[in-house]
Amino acid sequence: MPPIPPVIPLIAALAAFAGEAPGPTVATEDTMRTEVPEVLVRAPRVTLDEILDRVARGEARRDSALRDMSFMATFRLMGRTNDPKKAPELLSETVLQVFKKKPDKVRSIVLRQFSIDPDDDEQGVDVEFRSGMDEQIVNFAFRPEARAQYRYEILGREVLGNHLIYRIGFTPRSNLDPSNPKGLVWIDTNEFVIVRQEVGFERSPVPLFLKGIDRMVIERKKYGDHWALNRVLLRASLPFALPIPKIGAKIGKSFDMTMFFENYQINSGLPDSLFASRKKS
Amino acid sequence: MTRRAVLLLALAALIPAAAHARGFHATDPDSAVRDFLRALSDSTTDYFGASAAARDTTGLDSMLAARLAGAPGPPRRVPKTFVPALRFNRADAVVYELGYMIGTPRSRMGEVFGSAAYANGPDEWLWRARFTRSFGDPLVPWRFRAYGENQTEVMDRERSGSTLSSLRALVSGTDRQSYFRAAGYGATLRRDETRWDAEISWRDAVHSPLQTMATWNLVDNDLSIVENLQAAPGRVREVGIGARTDLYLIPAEAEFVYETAGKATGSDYTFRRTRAAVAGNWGMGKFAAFVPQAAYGRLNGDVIPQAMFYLGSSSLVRSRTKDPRSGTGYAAGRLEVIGTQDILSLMHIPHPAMFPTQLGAFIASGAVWGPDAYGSTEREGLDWPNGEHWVSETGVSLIYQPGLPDPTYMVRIHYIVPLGPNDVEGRWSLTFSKAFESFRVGR
Repeated sequence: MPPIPPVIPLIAALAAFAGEAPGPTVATEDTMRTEVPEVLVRAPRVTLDEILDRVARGEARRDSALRDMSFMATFRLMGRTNDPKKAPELLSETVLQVFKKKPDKVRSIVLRQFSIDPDDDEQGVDVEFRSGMDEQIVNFAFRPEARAQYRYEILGREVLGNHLIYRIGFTPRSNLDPSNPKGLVWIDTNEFVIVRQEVGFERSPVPLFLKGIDRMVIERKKYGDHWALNRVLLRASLPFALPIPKIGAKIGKSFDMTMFFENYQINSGLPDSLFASRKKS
Repeated sequence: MTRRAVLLLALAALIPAAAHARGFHATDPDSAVRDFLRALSDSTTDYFGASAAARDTTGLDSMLAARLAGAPGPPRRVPKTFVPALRFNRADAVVYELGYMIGTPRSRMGEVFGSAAYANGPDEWLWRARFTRSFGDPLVPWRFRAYGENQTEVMDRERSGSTLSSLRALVSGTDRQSYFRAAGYGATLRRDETRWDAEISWRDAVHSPLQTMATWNLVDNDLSIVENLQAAPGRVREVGIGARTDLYLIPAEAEFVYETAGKATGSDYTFRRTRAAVAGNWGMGKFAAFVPQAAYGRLNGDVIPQAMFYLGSSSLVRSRTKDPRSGTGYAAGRLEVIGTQDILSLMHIPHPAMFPTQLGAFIASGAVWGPDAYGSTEREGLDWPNGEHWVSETGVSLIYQPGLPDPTYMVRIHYIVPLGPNDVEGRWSLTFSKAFESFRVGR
């Protein structure tokens, strides 16, 4: 038998893979068998209290790792969002560039303003940002001071790659204050930060003007090594079309309020001179 | 090179490619989480549709560069508005007020409010001016307020002249407060924190008594109380501190208020007024909340009606309207269950969604002791009232929570039944107040 040229096995191997769908073939070893006796593991599962403690610490750690940040924020109000006969209509949109630096510097610059109300074109949405970066809109129910106000429940766990994501529900211990929401958060246990939140209300916080808040979603996104607020989206229903001249009919009986926070630059070393003029721009 | 070596080399070359083809990103351990969140985010985007669409970025970068280089931004209009008001009480009769407000508390120049009012009972012009500035973190701000006034004030410091009490007095003559005139100025600095609030205040005002000027009402009822309690005339210069805090271990809050005036500050009267209150909020499932409240107060020094404690139509005990009492000591408690569900919906009764109706029930007890501004004999008690001075009541309430101006503000229609050996009949009461009625700080 003539010697096989060294290139033949390589071609054969390539041919073998080429005939199949992309991806490796899993080989199963079935010639060896063994049995391992069951072992009772006594290591306790992480308790809910521990998770809540770690989330509080994780959120604090996230905040402490931030020295400065800049981002572009968009605030948008859309009317008639649940009207099957008419398309939603943009009522107002404000775009701002925001700069924050610890301990207490903040500056926001209005880049664009639009309002469908012609009388409102000089004012638009008046937005004020906090200098803090702790994002209380995300972690309000998981701050140490809120623990007495809410009940928590583990609703699920999901393993995603080398991450374990907990789904934890929270409900206010008392419904006396209708503005206290219930909700569901997704927590990445690698860093114990909240990565997403869905919020609901047991009853309307302002029944006189608001039939209810149908859905509210708060999303974070990872920018480099840091999680930061990415979107807040809210849909609300009204008991009646608001009798506001010019725009009442355009709001209709349902509106969306959305906020986007993008183009983050985190810990980029913002100069103090950027904040020298503290007057609102 | 052996065949085995060649095969191993070939496999080594192929494994990363195969792994990539199966979607396993060995260099990006976060990709699975990112994909998971993106899927949830895409679903949210679908739900919100056009509201979640990406913004138009045209011109934003150049605008930012221009603004950073000093280009002016869009003009900002300073809010300005007229604030008309109509009030009624039996000392002033009808008060026609026109105010003008400019700015906002968060703006650099703050909010400035000024008004002129005409009281047609005493035929007097009244006025007030106020400057309000809020600064610091918007969630935990400092608030400063300075004011000057020549206005009518309610004798019971734990009460305020609300729109509802004005309406009650005008329509049915159920005006159970007493009033005095205060002409002077004052300032308050307040700090709102997440779990506590604190304030310090200064007030310098000349107090003068008022007479009942209006004995009429729209439905021509007899007045609940005709006489207007007479304030002690003179100048009162007082310092006050107040604080409210969460009680960390239980779902409850406590409040402490201390006010003092003395000759050293040029005041005509010397007194120390101390009041503490505590209120809890325990959820009873999703259907109700248990709200216990208690308050205790003491007045030392000169006994003047405008610094005393009142029981009768006070916030915690309401049934003694025909037998109002006052004193230098005050103790009261109230246990209340407040329904948190719309009772009409639960009973499948059709009604507008904007009017959810809740139920409530309560039991309350309170006492005042010491000299009585209404002229009764002094009630015995030093730090605590004697047993016979307690008055108690129970009742049920229909409640509407409009969500304004604060989520726990409630319109309550009570039916109140006095308890114990007395001859006071049951009565209806209409109130508009916070759930924690015993609290004053930040009101």
